[in-house]
Parts: sequence; structure tokens; C-alpha cells
Amino acid sequence: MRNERRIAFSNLTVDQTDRLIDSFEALPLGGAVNRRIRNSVLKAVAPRRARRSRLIRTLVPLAASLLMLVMFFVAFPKAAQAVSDFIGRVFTPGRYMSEDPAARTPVPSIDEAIAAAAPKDGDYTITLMPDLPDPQQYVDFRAENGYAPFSEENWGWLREIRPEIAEVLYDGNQLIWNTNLYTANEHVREFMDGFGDNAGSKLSVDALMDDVTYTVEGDPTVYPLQVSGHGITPIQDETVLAGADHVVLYSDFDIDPTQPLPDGILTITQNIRICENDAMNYGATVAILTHTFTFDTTKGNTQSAELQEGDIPLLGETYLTVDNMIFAEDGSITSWTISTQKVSLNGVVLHAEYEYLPTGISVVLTLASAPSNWTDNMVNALLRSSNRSIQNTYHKIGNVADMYINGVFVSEAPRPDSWGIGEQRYTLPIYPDQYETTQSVVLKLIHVYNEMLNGTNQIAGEVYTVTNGQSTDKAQTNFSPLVEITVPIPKS
Amino acid sequence: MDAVTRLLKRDPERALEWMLRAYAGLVYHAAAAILGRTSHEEIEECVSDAFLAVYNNRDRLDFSQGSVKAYLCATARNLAIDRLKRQTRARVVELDDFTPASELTEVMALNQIDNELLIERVLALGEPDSTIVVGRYYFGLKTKELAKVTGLKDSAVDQRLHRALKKLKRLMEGGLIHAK
Repeated sequence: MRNERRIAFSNLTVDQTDRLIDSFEALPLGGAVNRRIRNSVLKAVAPRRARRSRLIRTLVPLAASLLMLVMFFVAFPKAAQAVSDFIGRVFTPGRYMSEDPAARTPVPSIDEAIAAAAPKDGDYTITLMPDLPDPQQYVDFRAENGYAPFSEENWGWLREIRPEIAEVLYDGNQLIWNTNLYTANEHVREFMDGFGDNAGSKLSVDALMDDVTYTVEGDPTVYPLQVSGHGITPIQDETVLAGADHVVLYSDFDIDPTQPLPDGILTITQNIRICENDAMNYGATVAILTHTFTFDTTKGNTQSAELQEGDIPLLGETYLTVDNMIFAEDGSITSWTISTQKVSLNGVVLHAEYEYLPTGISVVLTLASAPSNWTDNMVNALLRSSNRSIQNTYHKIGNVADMYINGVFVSEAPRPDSWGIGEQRYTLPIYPDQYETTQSVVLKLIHVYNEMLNGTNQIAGEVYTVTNGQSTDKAQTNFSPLVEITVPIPKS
Repeated sequence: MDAVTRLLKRDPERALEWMLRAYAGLVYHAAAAILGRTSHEEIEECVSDAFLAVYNNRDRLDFSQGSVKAYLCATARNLAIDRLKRQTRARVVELDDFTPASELTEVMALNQIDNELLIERVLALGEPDSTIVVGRYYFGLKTKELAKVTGLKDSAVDQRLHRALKKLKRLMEGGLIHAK
């Protein structure tokens, strides 16, 4: 997609960049995007050793369990089918929705979510620039910026555009839709020429989402939707372009997890700003297309099951390797020691949230409560990720979550996205169409701790002091079972 | 050296958390201004790679030359430009797309001397105009977003932007004459 592409201030040095952006301390970013970037970076940094050995880590336990698997599958072919289905389904919703539905590889659970939204077109109006509020601002803009005066001859064709809601994907966390804008092929080409560098007499046109709102039946309130990404999907193939009778305006929206869309039929009103050349230029607006449509959020909000949550009390004792950090006001560390202590888990309660998405089952573990003598450092030590090496050993303290499906070990639970910050996240590759054949999903967490660290006998109570913020860890670890978590699987 | 730079040297993991919280939005917009806002995955990859590059090269970067924020934004933009260059249909648009083939566009020749001049002139516009120009052309912010950043109305942002560009053009012409 190519809307809004520009290169300005390119080839700046870091010093130049510093001076240029000095007045910008922060810019807003959607919560979902923020989380994805954060998770991506942290995952790449923290478990680097884990990532390199991910395949091997998966294979070795599988090999070790091969005989058991074979016997199990021979005895229980349905279970074999169920487990084998868990491998290999990967998709990205944005990319999925940016592909031609006729050409993309179908993902059943996504297609079901799309079908469940059941969008229906409502009314639409197209208002050309002279009839927009305060048209003089556009007239002035055009005069001041080298645009030809607005004319019916050039822009009258916009009245003939017919919008049609093509697809809506809503799964409770993500909202994406495509709007087809039907027009003559010559104007499809003008959309493809939109944005940027085609100076001269040739007209080009572009569209972006403007204000978008929704209403719910029985509620007079008009709620805003915050568009996150939007733009005309380019048609790259000249053969396809030659026969194209519409362009696709892609748009996705930030959904605040604390304020999901209400259940039921939402009436969306989308204002699509159509501009000459580049829709980033507000003043170049030649028409506003106001289009209403409805879609059903019910299935998206209740995809196979409501979010479930529960508390998981821990029992017994474990060794815990704790980073004790003391920070100065400027954020620098004044003291950092590492020690292993035996702690009672009685009174420590984890909180688990399970979300059933077309993208898999999301499991989030946080601390629900702990005895008053538990510090933040202890909580962070309890809830961070480790990994198993090729030799079935552990070089990093934290938790390893083994995923058992129908009683069979499959792999470590994938995508633990956080470390050391008091929560653990897993996205289990179990999709709604597999729920019926899935008898059980269990995460078995084991906790890894240091016995020796850089020559200190941690298990005997010796403390290692990190100097200059650097620690080349030579650790001898051990582990103990922490807890087994049975993931609720929705059944019809 | 600012606090986050010191933290990056002494406690990189904690610094990374801080950087992600503080600068993800800035870095995202810096990359999105190059790639276009609909290229979500590419933008997010550039942003993630920028954070990783600064984090992984923290011992080699010279932070006396620029802040962590500047390294992140510059890296993200360079990564985005590299991606854009690889796209066969990529088209390059210079600073002033309001005045096609204008002298201003020529002035934006991509070399260090002209960048110095450009930065000097943009900052000389004064506030809020310099913020509007940088926000629009470095971070790719839309009018409404600029209105939120500056506290101005949409129409005021548009007007100030257009006036600023004209003023910039005059300043740049003067600068060129001076440079000659």
C-alpha cells in the first residue's frame, strides 16, 4: 500500500536528527501496535538463546517422546489427528485482509469470523467539495498550492462511486474492514496513480478514512472509532488492473481491551475523504463519501467461548533466584545482587486469563496475591521465562511451560512474550475448529533456579554481586515442578 | 549523557523497557512516514529492528553524537528507506509535494550540507511552525494529529503549514544565495 509515502529529511545524521526532533518527546501509538512491538522486541532480546534453539528444543522432547506418541496415536487415532492439526497454522490478520479473498490461502477460523460479522450495506452519500462545509478553505488551498480550480468536469465522476462493505474481521481484539469503492476502470487507474509524484495535467485521486463512528441499537450515543491503519490497496498486477472495477480501502482500528465493542449489531458510519493526488492533504479534498453499514459483533465477542479467568494457588516450596536491584532517581542501578532462596509458595496465587480467539488461545498469567513478605523482585523472579536446551538442561532461571494436548507432550508453550516484569503470556496454537477434538490442554510449569552462579554457592546462601551492570553468567541450575494449569477448552 | 543512555549502558534490559514505553510512538511515526501507514507489518518490523539495533549496539554507539531517541528514529527511518528502495513500485517524494517540481524540491538535495541548511531554516521558523513542519514531514502526522500535538485547530494547522512552507521556501532561496 502506498498512501502517505514520502521521503523528507532523508539521510540525516544522528546529530541532525537530534536537533530536528528535539521538541518531540512522545507521540501516541495504539495499544495493540504498542504491545506487538514491545512483545516482538522483548522476545527477540530476552530469550535469544531460546530462539536459536527453539526448533531443537521442540524436536528433542518430541524425539524423546516419540515412542509414547506412536503408541498413543496407534491406540487413539482421533487424538493423533487432533495433535497433528495443531502444527503449522500461521497467519497475520492484517496481511490476510490485505490479500484478495479469491487468492489467499484460507484459514477456516478467520473465514468463520469474517462470515460471522455479516456486514450489510446501508445508505451512502457523496458530497463534492463545493457542497462541503466551509468550501472556501479548499478553494484557497487549491489556489495557494498549485491545484487547478475544482471543476465539475474533472470531479463530477465521483458522484458515481458506489461503496460496498466487503469484509469485516472482528475477533474481540482486532477490528479490520475492507470497503470496495466501485467506479469505472479509468478511475481505478487514477486511484492507483494517487499520491505523490505525478505532476502535470493528469488527474490522480486518493482516499483515506476520516471520522468513523458507531452506534448501537437502543443507545443514542455516537461512539468514535480510532482508525489505526488505512489506505487504498494497490493493484500490482497489470492484468488485474486492466479488468478492475473497484478499489479496496483497507482500514483497521484500535480496540481498547478494557472497552471492547458491545455485543450485537453495530451501525458504522465511515467518512471517506477523497482527495486529489494525496489524501494526506486535507485541503485537497474533492469529496467526502459517507457510508453506513452494519455488522454483528456478537460472534467476535464470544468466539467459541467467553474469556475465562481463574486463580491458581501455588503450594509447597521452591527455590527462587532473585535479582535484587536498587535504583537511583535517574534510573541507574546503585546495587544489584543475585541470590537464591527457598521460599514457601503457600499463599501465592496466580491469576490466569484465557481468551479464545481465531488466532489461538491466549493465556496470560499474573500474580493475584502473595504474602506480605513477597517483594516485587520475588514476583518478577517467579514469573519470568526460561527455556530448555538441546541437552534438556536449563541455562536460564525462570519458568518453562510444557504444553500437553490430550495428554501428549507437544512442545513448550509458544511465544512467552515477557520476562521479568511480573507476567507471562502464551498463545496456544489451538483454533476454534479444533476445540471439539481437543480433550485437554495442560500447561506444566517447572521453575528453574540457580544452584551456583559465577562461583557463588547460591543454594548455600551465597550472594553474587553484579558489578558495572554486567554479568557473564556461569550458572549451574536445577528445577522443580511449579504448577499444572488446565486450560479450559470450550465445547459446544 | 541523559538518564536513559546511562541506564542503557548499565542495565540494558531495564533501559529497553523504558525506551519502548517512552519512544515507541515516535519511532513508529518516523518509520510510518516513509512506508505509509497501511504497511503495518513492515513498519512494526522496522521499529522493532531499530530498537534491537540500538540495544544490541549500545556499546558501539557514540551517544555524545546524539540521544537514544535520535538513534532510534534515525535507525528506523533508514531501515524504512531501505525497504522502500527495494519495492519496485516505490516512488520518492521530496519535502514539498504541494508545489510539484518547485525550486524547493530541488533545494532538498539529499546531502549533508543541504540538510544542515534545511534544519537550520526549519528551526528558524519558530514554534509552532517548526513543530508542524517536522511533525508533518518527518513523522508524517496528519492534520488532526498535528492539531492535537500543537493544540491548534485543524484549519489553523493547515494554514500555518502552508504559510510555513512558503516562508521556508523563501528562507531556502536566501540560504542558497548565501551558500553560493
